[in-house]
Amino acid sequence: MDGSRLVKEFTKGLWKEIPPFRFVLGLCPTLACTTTVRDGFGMGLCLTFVLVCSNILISLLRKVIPSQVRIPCFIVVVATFVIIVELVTQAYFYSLYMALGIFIPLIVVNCIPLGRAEAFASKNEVIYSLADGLGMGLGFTCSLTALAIFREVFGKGTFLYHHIMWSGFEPFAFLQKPPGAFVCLGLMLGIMNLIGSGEK
Amino acid sequence: MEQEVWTFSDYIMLVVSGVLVNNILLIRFLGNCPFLGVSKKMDTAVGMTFGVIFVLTCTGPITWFVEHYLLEKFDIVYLETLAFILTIAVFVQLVEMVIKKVSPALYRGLGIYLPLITTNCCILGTCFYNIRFKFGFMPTVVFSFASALGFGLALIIMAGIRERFHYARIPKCFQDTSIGLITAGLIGLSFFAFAGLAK
Amino acid sequence: MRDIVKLIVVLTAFCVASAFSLAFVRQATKERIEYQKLKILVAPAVKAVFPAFDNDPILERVKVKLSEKEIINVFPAKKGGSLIGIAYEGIGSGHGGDVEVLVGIDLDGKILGVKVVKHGETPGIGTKATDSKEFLDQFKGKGVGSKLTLTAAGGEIEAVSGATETSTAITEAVRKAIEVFPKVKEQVIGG
Repeated sequence: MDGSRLVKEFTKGLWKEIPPFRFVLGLCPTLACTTTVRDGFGMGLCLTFVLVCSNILISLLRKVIPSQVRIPCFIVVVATFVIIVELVTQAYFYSLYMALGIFIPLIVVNCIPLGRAEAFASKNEVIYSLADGLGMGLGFTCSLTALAIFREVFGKGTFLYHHIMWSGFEPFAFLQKPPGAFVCLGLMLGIMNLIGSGEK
Repeated sequence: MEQEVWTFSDYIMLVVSGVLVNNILLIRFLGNCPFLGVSKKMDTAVGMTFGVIFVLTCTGPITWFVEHYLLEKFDIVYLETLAFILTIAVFVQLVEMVIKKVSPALYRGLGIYLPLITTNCCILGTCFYNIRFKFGFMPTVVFSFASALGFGLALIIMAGIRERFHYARIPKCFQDTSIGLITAGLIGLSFFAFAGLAK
Repeated sequence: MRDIVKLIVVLTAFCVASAFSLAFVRQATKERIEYQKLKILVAPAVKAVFPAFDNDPILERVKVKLSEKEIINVFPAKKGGSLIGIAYEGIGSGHGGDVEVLVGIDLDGKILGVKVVKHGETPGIGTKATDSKEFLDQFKGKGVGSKLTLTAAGGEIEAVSGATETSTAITEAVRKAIEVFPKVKEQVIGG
């Protein structure tokens, strides 16, 4: 086990290839589930769980899965973990489950778990796949949470449902609506690119 | 949206709602990944649109059958996610094989989008909505078609605008995806004009 | 040929493994999910139909079998560890479909409180009865021996004027609940 490679696979998901900004995948939940910080963070964690579990399992079974049926196998694995997440959130985090709605089951077609399974987990050892999944998942969670903080604080005036802005503050309701999500994400992506290009 | 009897005007309202008021892409957020990837040129946008219309109008009712005659009968509704995605994947695979055999020309134009459509959240999402909104069979068909139409509309508008980006001076950091998202937001804002037309 | 067999075997193995693990998780979470759904549906009503209690009636719910096909949830309220009453639903037919009413009953069969949980009555007309504290309070204190019909039919309950159909439905729901009380009591406490 190569320690520095492990660190590299883990950290790439946190900045260099952070979804959805650098690694432009998984846009649907990014836009839909970031109206409040709780939803953004919750969605990020759900996806991280699915991603890490499916990466590990697919990596473990990579020598057994025949190439011709690999996509259906990946789908079955990812869907299984998605349903587990669905059931667990329904049982223990009911209000989050109601808020995220159909986007929890939609994790199964989210390009991130399937994409990483195809591109990484099916070709690398378990420990690196775990690092990759964890890094990407946490990166995704950070992105979602950042976007959600912006949208909730300025769009609603609250943070985790507590009012934190001064009393005369008029919330910028546009940010809470669908078009606001697109514009906000687009601007954040542009700024990330600006910061990124400065690094090169 | 639970109704016993659907009149013709109800169906019209459903189409208006699906295409304009609650546009599947700009308002319901489904289908964004291919949206940004395929909307750079008009001909890819049109190809994807036809693909989505065909697949969604077929898989909407098919998954409706799976839900009501398979999952509910055996009380395994919690397997909905798995059952639906497998149904869609199998359907798309079959269609791809058929098109390849029957019309290689059509396959070249349309076939390459089919695998992409399998993981399009717009398809699976609309199938879920059909169940959540408790639609009967006919409303399911209409809603699936209307959603696909809405997706296509947003996609084609976007492609039309993005083709003209060649002539605009956009700062480097905002190029490509970033400006695409901002544009999508502004298009979506214009769709807000339709709010109130239908539920 | 061997290749195809291998493909089928692997895919089938995946599906079977998936089905088993999901069935397991489903069983593990079934109770809890039902609890969450019920909490959203009836928690305010449960609070309204009992006087002070200190347990979680929904968590401690008991399934009671009324007949072959009818199994209902009964919510026990306790104070200081001892049972003070039970609540369960009765259903009556109203103008817009079934009217579901949660009825809280003490151990002697006297009604502690009544609250409408679900209905399809017309807002502004039928809701004059479903939302009227005055109307619903009439049921308090009545029990197994009471005449639970409207005064117009010779009973003890005054209908809300202008909402007779809904008043009848609610009264029917409470009456049905009281009628099965002996059976429910037997299964919850044991006679």
